[in-house]
Amino acid sequence: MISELLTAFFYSVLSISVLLCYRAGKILNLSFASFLTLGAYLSAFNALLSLPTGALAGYFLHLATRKLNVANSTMFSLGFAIAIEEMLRISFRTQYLLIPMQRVVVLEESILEEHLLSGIISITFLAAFFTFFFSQRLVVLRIIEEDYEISEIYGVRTERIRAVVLTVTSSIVCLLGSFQHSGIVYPTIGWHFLIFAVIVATIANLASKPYPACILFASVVSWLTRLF
Amino acid sequence: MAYKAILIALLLFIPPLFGYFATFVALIAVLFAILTVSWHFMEKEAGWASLGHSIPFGISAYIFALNPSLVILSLLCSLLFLALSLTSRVLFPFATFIISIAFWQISHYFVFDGKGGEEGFSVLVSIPLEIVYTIAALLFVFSFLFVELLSRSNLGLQINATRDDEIASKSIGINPVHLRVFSFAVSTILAMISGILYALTFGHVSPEVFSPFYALFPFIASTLALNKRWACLVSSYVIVALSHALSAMIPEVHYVIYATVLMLFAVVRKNAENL
Amino acid sequence: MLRICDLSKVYGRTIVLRGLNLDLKEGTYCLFGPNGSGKTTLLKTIAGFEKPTSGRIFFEGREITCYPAEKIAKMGIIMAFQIPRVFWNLSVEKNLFLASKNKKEAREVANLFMLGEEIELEVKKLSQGKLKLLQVAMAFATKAKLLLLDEPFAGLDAENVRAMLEILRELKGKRSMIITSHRPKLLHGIADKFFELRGGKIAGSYENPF
Repeated sequence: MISELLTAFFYSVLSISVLLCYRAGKILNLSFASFLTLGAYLSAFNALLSLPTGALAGYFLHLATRKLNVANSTMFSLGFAIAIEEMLRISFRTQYLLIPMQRVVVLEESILEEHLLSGIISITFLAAFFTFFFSQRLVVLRIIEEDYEISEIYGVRTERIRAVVLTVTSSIVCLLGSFQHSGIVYPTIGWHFLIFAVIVATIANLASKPYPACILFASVVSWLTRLF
Repeated sequence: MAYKAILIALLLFIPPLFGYFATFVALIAVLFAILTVSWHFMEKEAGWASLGHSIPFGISAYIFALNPSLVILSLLCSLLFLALSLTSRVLFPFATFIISIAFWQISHYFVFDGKGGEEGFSVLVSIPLEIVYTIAALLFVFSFLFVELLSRSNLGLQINATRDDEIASKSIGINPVHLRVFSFAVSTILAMISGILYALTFGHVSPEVFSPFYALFPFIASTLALNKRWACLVSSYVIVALSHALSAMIPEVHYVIYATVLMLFAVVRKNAENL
Repeated sequence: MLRICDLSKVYGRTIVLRGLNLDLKEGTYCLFGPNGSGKTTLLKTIAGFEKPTSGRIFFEGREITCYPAEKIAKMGIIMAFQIPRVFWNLSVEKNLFLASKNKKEAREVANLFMLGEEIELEVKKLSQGKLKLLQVAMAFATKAKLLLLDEPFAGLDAENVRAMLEILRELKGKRSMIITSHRPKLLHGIADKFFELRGGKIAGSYENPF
């Protein structure tokens, strides 16, 4: 039960990040798969390294794709994802990396300590996101989602906001990648997480309130993945 | 025009003169060139860029390995493409990529008659490499000429027009859905040919046929070919030859090529309507 | 030729067409009215690009209410949109060839519609006026019996308006047409009858004053 809940929170954060990048950043960020993988590999040294690394990677992605349309930005993110994967594969020269994990008992259920941390980080992010997103501070984000070009015409700093969105989401995703694996890390580990997140984000995007819908559909997906 | 024909002829006829390994590498290049031509037709003529051509490629290879007489069933992949085309032209590439990854994952669990899974299946039919190469070369020429003639025909013009504007097509009595189905079917058949040749070449089919390497290959090769159909053979040779030459130094070097092409292409072709 | 019975079209809570009735013989008709009166919706519904909420449409005695647009086009009703819908990456000749299915006829139509000089040019390089002419030319080239022209003068300068009027005078008698316009006076001398559309209904009509 706890495990499913933690997985649901993780998928919620991942799908909200995908959706936020698409709606506000005009990019279907396929690099998230590799940021998750990067975080997983960095956890072998120090999980906190993934925060600045993810942020840098996200900012680089923003710089490279700020003048591109959605399709080309997405293409670039796919190429970037493959490049990161290859860099990891060449650097580590092994098929798998084994990282020791510890277990804790929460409400009579044994779960991985790292998954618990991932859940806590996810809950914190979700709380912060929903607190700020619906406040006046982030109304510009909602304006950009409505119409990117018109926002620019009316003086909204779309490029700066895009940079912040990509940097923050990338660093959070990379950090979560440090905690969400099960001790066996390999270069393509991030892809199956991303596929589910993209499916959740795609369905949630059709809803009238997409971000809360992400949490609902992510819960369904996490339950289904446990089932199968 | 003449130099293109000469170059294609050289690339097809010269490699077998250099022995078994050269023929093997050339065969892989040619079968991937057929896959690239099939992708190129669907993208350039019909306007639907797929990143999931590994689906008909892999399914036909699997079915051929299990029961060659049923390989025609892989034509049903065109219906899958039709269903995915309902997402929209912009989302179609990513929908096909996601589904091809899903196939990649699911195929690891596909077991038949106690065999399969991660190991895959052995191909029952065995044909000498030289004969497979001859068949592949002939099929490449056939595929290329067929697609070339189709694109210059009235039907090809209608397919082109529907790519531009489906509403304008409807307004003059052209049914865009029929043309879409036809385009997907043509592309799927050529991808099936490529999949069957792959099965014959390696004598074995595993879940790797659905991997991103095969899903992205036609797009990468077509981009390297500067979107020219005749150059698909050249770019296929480049990718396959480089992969074989450098794989001892850099594992899975083809992904390095992919990453480079994807990132450079996206930046260089800023305002491409299609991919 | 065209009979519309009790046609209604609703988008969400907005009623665009309310129980509209129309019975038209061969000829040229002008439909005018304020923005939002339902002119474009009516044409799109006749042409099959929109499905009516209720009501029926008959063309030459045959009901076409829920037919798809391409089937209605083959039956002889072609729509030319306010924002031109053409094949941008093809040449003018190829666009006309697709409509007429005959190369010689395509060239003849191009000359008739003052597109002879631009015949080899890609459509995306044409000016707005020429695009509008091309769209009407394509509709004409299909040999359709009824042309639905949605705001053919919108966005045109005086010279192109004159060119369009000349074309419409040429087409009068050769094809039946329903033309929507904010400026019905332009069509005095061309249209046989004028209908005012207001609030989704025919508010009034009058014959050609000339």
